[in-house]
Amino acid sequence: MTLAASFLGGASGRLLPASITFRFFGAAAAFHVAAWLVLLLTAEQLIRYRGGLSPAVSALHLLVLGVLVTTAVGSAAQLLPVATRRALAAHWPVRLVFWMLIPGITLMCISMFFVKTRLVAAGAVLTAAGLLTFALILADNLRRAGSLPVVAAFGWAALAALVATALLGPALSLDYLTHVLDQHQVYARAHAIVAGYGFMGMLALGFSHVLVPMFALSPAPGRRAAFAGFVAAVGAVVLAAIGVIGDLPGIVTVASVLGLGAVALHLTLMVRSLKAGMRRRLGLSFILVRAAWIALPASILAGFAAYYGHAGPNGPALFGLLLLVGWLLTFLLGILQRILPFLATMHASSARSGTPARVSELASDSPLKLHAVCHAAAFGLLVFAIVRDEPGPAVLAAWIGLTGSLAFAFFAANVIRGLLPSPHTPAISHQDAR
Amino acid sequence: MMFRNRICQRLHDEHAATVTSMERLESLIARHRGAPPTGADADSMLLRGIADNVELEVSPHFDFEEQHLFTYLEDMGDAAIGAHLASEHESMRPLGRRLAELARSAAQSGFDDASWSEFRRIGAELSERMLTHVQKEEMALLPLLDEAMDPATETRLFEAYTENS
Repeated sequence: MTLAASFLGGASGRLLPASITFRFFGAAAAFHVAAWLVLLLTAEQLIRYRGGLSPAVSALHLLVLGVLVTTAVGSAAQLLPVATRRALAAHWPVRLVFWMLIPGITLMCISMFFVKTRLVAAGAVLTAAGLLTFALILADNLRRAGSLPVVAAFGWAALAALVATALLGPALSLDYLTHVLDQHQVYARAHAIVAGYGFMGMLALGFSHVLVPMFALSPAPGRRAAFAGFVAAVGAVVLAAIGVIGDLPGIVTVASVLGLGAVALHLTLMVRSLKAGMRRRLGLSFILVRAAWIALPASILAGFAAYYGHAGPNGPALFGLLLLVGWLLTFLLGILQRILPFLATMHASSARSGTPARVSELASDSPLKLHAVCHAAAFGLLVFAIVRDEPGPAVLAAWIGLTGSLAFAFFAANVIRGLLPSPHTPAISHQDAR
Repeated sequence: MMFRNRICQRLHDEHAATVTSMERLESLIARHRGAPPTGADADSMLLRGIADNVELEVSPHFDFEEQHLFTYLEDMGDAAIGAHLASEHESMRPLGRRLAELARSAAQSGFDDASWSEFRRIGAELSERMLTHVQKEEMALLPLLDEAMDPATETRLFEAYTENS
């Protein structure tokens, strides 16, 4: 049975209470604003960032952990039980993840900003504990995802990368105190690859095989080609991590070529899916998704060039920007602006006795238009600032990005507000006590 | 062919026509944000096409699903999908009837400000509801029927549908 069929076929038992799912999305929207704010304060450091603990690292982790990972956890916790048609045994582990993850990320990022190494380590350990707890929930669900083999394969790969990230992150943080690792920077680069392409990247590619056909109303991509892309993507991430840790240029080159091959295959499948789809007008969200698809191979090329020292003095920063903002953030915000109101209407439908809820009733799309324009302008200006090594455009980019993030937060707040019971409608009844 | 089951394929083809019609409707509304269309031939044809789609395709499509497919699923013990989709049909039927009336009238004598304003409001709501609804049926209802329906039931229901349309 498909994901959507599961939603409709008695999904109320498998829909997490809105208060659980939307707390992750709300937190992600708030971290998004915080990330641009810190970027504004650290713009000069960030465009010249080459590694090490500094206030600029706070912006990176607000973006990766605060926005990307928090959204991924909220989405996966909701979508996987629906896909597997097995309700979570209990809701409290997901709540526990939230209460470890959000304070952990907040503590870690504030400490990074003020370069307080002990507190960074404490925040990293708490965050890692939240991520490892989430890994257990994810593993339990993936075990039962027999009807979605492609998504499950990407999910298992993301899970492995998540565990590696959750172990490596605190190790790097503790190393600021113990100085045990003799090649801290090398492991930090591997951490970035495994977290960015491994955990977040695999989740993004895997869920694309369900979500893109669902939005475009097209058949799912061919399973054999999807698996070929999966094998190439996993191989690329593993080889890239090995190549970077071992400083093996040949392996890094093979990983880059394999990664580009995996991306080419994935994008071919996605474009075919869009072409075969009934829907031609996919709206603003797919403009962002298409832009992210351009940034994905560009990030691999930039990483490859930076490794060989051919990407200019700020090559590592350019690579990070293309990977985190260009590919992952752009893609995630494009998908999130579709998923968030869709999930909200599912909750609102079950709460109202009258006509089914509409997306446009929950939130206007004007903030999304403002966000998209700001996001594109901020990204372009940051690329310019990094390539030209000029902090001025980066500061302007941060102001624009901050404006866009506030617009997105306004949109998310409106959707969440639409879920709250009004004095005239009954409250959403869920078994919150489970 | 996307579906083995002929009923599913037929409904899928009708969904494709409806999506095209709704996207044309959205495009018409977007092109004339302020003043109503001037009554060009292309707009009149478009309005007639939208009215035909809503009255001659969507309405029998809804009826058939409710009378035959949702009851079939209910007999199989899966009433939730049918109940959800039927509630969406109920919310769209009055919108579709009124939109078709307005479209036919405008195809003959054009819009005034009041009728255009009503057409835009109803058209925007109907297209939003319809596109979401088609999405759910394509991803949920049709794959489920394609997987579950036995050949004898398929033949019987397919004949019932084609005879009445």
